[in-house]
Amino acid sequence: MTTLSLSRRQALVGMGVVAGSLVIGVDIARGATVSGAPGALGSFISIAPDGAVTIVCPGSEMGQGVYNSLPRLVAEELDCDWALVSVRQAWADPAFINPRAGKQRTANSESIAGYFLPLRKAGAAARQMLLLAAAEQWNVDVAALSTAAGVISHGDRKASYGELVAAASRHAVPKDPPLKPTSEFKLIGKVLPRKDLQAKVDGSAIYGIDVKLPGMLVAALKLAPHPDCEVTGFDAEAALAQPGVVAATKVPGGVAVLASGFWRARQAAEMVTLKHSPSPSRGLNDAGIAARLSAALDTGKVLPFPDFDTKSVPPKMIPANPAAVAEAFKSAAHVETLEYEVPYLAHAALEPLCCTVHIQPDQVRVVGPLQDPERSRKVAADLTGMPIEKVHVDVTFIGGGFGRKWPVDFVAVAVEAAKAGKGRPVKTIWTREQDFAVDQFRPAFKARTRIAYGADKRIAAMYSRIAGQSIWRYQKRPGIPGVADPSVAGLLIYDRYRFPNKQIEFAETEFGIPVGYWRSVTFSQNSFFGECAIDAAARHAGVDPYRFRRELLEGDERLLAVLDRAAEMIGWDRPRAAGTGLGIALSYTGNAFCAQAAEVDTTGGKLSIKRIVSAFDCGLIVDPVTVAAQIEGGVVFGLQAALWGEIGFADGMPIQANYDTYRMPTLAEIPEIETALIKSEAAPGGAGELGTPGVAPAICNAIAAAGHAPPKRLPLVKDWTLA
Amino acid sequence: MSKRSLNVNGKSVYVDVPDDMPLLWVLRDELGLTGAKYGCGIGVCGACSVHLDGEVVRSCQVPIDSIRKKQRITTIEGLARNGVNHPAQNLWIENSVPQCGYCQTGMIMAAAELLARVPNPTDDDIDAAMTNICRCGTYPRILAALRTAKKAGQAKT
Repeated sequence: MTTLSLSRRQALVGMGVVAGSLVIGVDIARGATVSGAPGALGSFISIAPDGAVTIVCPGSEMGQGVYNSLPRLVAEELDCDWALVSVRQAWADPAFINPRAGKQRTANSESIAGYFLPLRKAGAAARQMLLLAAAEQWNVDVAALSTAAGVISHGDRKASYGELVAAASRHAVPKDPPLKPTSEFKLIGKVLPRKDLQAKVDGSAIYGIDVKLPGMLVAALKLAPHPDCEVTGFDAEAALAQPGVVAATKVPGGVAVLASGFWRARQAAEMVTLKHSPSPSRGLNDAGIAARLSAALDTGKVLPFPDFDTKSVPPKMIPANPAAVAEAFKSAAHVETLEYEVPYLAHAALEPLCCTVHIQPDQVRVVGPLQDPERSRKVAADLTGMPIEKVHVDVTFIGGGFGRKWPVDFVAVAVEAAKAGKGRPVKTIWTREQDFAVDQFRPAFKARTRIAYGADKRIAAMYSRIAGQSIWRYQKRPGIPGVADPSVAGLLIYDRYRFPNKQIEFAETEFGIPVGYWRSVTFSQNSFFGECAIDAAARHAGVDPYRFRRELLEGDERLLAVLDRAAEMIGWDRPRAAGTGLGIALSYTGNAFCAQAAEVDTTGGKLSIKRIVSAFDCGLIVDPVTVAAQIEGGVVFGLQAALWGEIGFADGMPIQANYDTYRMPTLAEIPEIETALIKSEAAPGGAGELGTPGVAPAICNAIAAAGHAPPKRLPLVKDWTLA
Repeated sequence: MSKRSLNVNGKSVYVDVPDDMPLLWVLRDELGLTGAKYGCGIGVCGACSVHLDGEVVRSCQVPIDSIRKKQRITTIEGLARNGVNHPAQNLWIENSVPQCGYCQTGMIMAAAELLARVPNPTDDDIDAAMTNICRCGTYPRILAALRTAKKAGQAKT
């Protein structure tokens, strides 16, 4: 099969495999190792005769740490010396599919969970082959051998892995090699030197924007007001007359101008005039969006969303019981209605969209900051007509993803731009303003939550409706018939809270604004809506909101543990000065749990965030430093959204176009951030998302605790002056 | 367009570029030094920070014709000496600061200038000097790293 031979060649060249190396391939998707000969499928691990170990990192590194955590899984079971390991970023190849996703993509905090067993098996298989080789050479039983840091021992006799690779590669790859028990882990869970740090502090790390290929041109864009506008004509005469400019060509949503460097291309691109079809969002403004969202809550067509049992994997749907909910409202002692709203949000990764494509007669090469190499490969094949096995996709370091570099719209633009390169590689770079303009935003939402209280003042029913755009619709994902878009409606009411009669509905409101997945997706709005509503219910019951949650989580040990820890860290019960307040909020997935608490000071009517603490349980921790960093960074991400994050619209165009108006915190504005990680041997879960969603509700609940009206909309800077 | 000589990382280099081309793009497109990053293009994010005669500047805001021939331009690629990391780079490694890392070369250039001026910076010094943007949210670790510098500075005195 040609697909495989191509990836073999690329693997061997890319990994710099030297003659005589032991190369282990893994077919992760099928959970088995497949070959030990050089040229193996995927070529995951190579061990050179000098003992140097190269491990492919199948996930894309965008700051979440897979470059260190995934190879560590291999190294742990291989029992090699971490200092001798080098890491190579994976290329697009079915061999690297994440079995949890069924795809080669890096998203949804699923890298560790998906690759945890297959990568360990790959390492264990290689170790087993080396053991067999040593046993044969020394004529002893495999069981009498031990390994440590890349050396096999039998009594005083020792051999390094490098010495054994030739003999080892003659053995078949064991299908089901034994794995270490957790208690024997030497690398997993430990603090180890990172493989990406030196390059990231000396400027040698190559991001998508840094790609250099011989003869390369750089493209800048002139864009229509909306990425889905069809360009019907353009005038690039002035642009083409500029020094260094080589070509101008139509691309999806605009025109690309190719030149010797970005600055020249950009100056020229600004001279291009476009004719295009009308923008799908033309005429739209903030007032119109708000009015239509309100109308949708009142009278819009709704789809139900089932309750989800997140304790099962994948989460099990439990249909709501509208009759029982209606009955609970009818017999309620009191009904409270709460309305909340959040705006569109940008990803605003510091590295703007960019991608390099080289179209040659017999092959196509794509190099870029790609969260989804698999779909990038398909897009390049589709747009060039090249057979997919002739399309090579390499992934660079990603200068921030947060969900934006998962869609492949920008890859399609880069491929079209490269067609004008006439055989030369073309790197297309969006300006910062263009990166904002073509973002696929976290949608704006309004939510209305009605709570029926019983005579005991506890929740008898909660009925919550959310209005906004469907992410799945824009991303062209087929929906579940009769069920609301999970990426919007999921966990609008937390399934783990043990009160009866939950009902969730989604009133889809289409605006034609590009929308997509933003760090923590549905939690990014629903944790705010849901956790503020829980505090309202606690106030109604006259119960402290931390203890109110404890009641609702009875028996849910992992959530209770993080909740208790966060309360302890923030000093929940200590005496507080007037004008200050503490708030707490939860977020969780099926395999990770986070409680966050905030302390605010509202003295003088100004809001100051003093501290944000997080207690986090993601099961077994592979890399504690990375996990802590993900939570800390997630807190800052959530803080930005809570305080300042907002994309407004005027005539269908996003108003904020750069960091001067899309306000980011700087170091001086960061409160004290503390993170505690819960020690656990449960199956490892994701760490990339849950640092973010609890921040806004924890702050808002703290503002309410300080004696103010509970905030109902974000960002807080709309209603508060920041101290 | 004019030919000009620049002093970059201790070496004389020649470029032939438009007068208004920002230093950032001269470094990246003409000299192949990609350690300084393009983030905002308006001097807000600081990802493009380099030193001009030892002072930190946002190179996207420095037209090439504003640079005098004798001025020393130092980029992240020139911060290490003889293959030995600058102390700021080591602080970043010891504190595992970078996540995606895209902004960190600019951060380190800002930190290096701060430490040259104030070897044992207070939190106020750090707040005032570190105004670059990090989208991953590495600020707590940047602060921790520079507080370590303060301790080291105090130990020496």
